[in-house]
Amino acid sequence: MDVQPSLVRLVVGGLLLDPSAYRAQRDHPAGVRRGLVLVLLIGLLVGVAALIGDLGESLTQPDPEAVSEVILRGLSRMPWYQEALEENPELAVSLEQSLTQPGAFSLTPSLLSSLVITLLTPFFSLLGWLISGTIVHIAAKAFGGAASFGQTLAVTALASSASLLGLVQIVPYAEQLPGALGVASGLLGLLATYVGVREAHGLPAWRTFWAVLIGPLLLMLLVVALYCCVVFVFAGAIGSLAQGGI
Amino acid sequence: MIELFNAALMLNQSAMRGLRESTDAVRRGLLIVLFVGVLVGAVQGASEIIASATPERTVAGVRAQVDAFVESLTLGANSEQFQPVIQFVNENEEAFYELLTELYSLPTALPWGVQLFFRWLASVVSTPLNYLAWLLFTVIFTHIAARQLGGQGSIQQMLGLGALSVAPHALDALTFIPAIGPTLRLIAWAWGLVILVVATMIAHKLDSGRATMAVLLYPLLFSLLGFLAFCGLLIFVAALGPVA
Repeated sequence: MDVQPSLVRLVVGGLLLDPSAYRAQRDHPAGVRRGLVLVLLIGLLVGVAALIGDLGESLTQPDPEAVSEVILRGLSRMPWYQEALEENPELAVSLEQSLTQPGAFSLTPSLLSSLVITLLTPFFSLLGWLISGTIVHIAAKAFGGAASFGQTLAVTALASSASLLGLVQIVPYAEQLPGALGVASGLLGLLATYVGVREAHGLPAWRTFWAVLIGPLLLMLLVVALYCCVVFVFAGAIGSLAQGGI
Repeated sequence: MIELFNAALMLNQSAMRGLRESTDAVRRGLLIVLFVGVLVGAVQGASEIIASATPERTVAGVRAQVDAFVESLTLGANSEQFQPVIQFVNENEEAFYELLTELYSLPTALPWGVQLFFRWLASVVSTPLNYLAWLLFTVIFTHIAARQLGGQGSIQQMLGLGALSVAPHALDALTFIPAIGPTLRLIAWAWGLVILVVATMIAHKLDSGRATMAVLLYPLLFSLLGFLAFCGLLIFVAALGPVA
């Protein structure tokens, strides 16, 4: 019974960037195991919160089929639609097909997909923790860090407590400004990782900064490179089609 | 917390120094963000709910926006060019409003009032996150610049003190008032900027010039890069020549 309050205090300390919480996590003999529990628990809590929020949204939204019917009826009353129909009689069929597709007017994800996301969230959190923890550890060691791999994993697990901000999703329609939750939890997570790595590895500020940032920077470079490759391939394909005389 | 909130608004440097030496600077600073966010979210959420209390009111709000848009096109310099758009809107808008009214009147499993309550609650819980996201972004770049300029403060001190710059944004709660809303927003922003400069000065023990530079360095740099990118784009478009 003593474990729960200390775990809650630890998480709150991690969220508020308290260096003593990160030191405690670094020095705990079962730091990695406790970190694993933290990551899974936070992932599950956030997933369940999002599920409850989605349920609330679906209960306050009209039936998607009724929405499709109202839109079709409303469109048929508009002058522009009548004119377009005279020019292209097949428009009505194609429009009806697209409007009556399942999920076309569902403003919230289906409960089944929400449930799947809830179950998958802890595993994605776990995967993210292991990958980012490994990259941060390699970078910190390269900069002269002193902590073991287990200690790095232990403190980066505590840094994932920033994901707890996602609990606001328990309120339906909570993310009104899209991206604010992602930006806030992402930046707080970066700061928490900075504090954790600094406490674990005992590195100076600038070395810690680069050790923490190198992973996200590499990821960004990878995304940009992939994007450029895709654009290059598409541009080449379009160019060759144009030369082919189409 | 209210004392700290008042101290931030009054630029009370001794209170800020006390916060810098405090072991729970982050918690106290983030409580200010939470307080302001909840206050602004509650008022703005209530204002939005009043505006959309019934399907008719919601549609009336949309109608007002469409009317304002059409009026701006009609009174604009290129009004003749936009004549087809204006005609299209005039011919179809009544049918569109009927469609919207029908959509908003469709039955749901829970009553319309529950959705309004959820939306108000969503405004209350998500507004602090909006302020937090903006604060973290600002604090991180200010902290990096301050350290480059010789600052000695920790990220916890900078975040705790920087959070005080959110205090004037309590004025955002009144921005729903049509005539003075934008002015209040501007005042809150400028006041917050001054608090951020003082907070940086105290957190990093910098003089006022360096603290100002730390706050403005990256925003100016990003603005300059954005301007150069825009100029580059213009030159590129000009070099392509006229399309036809």
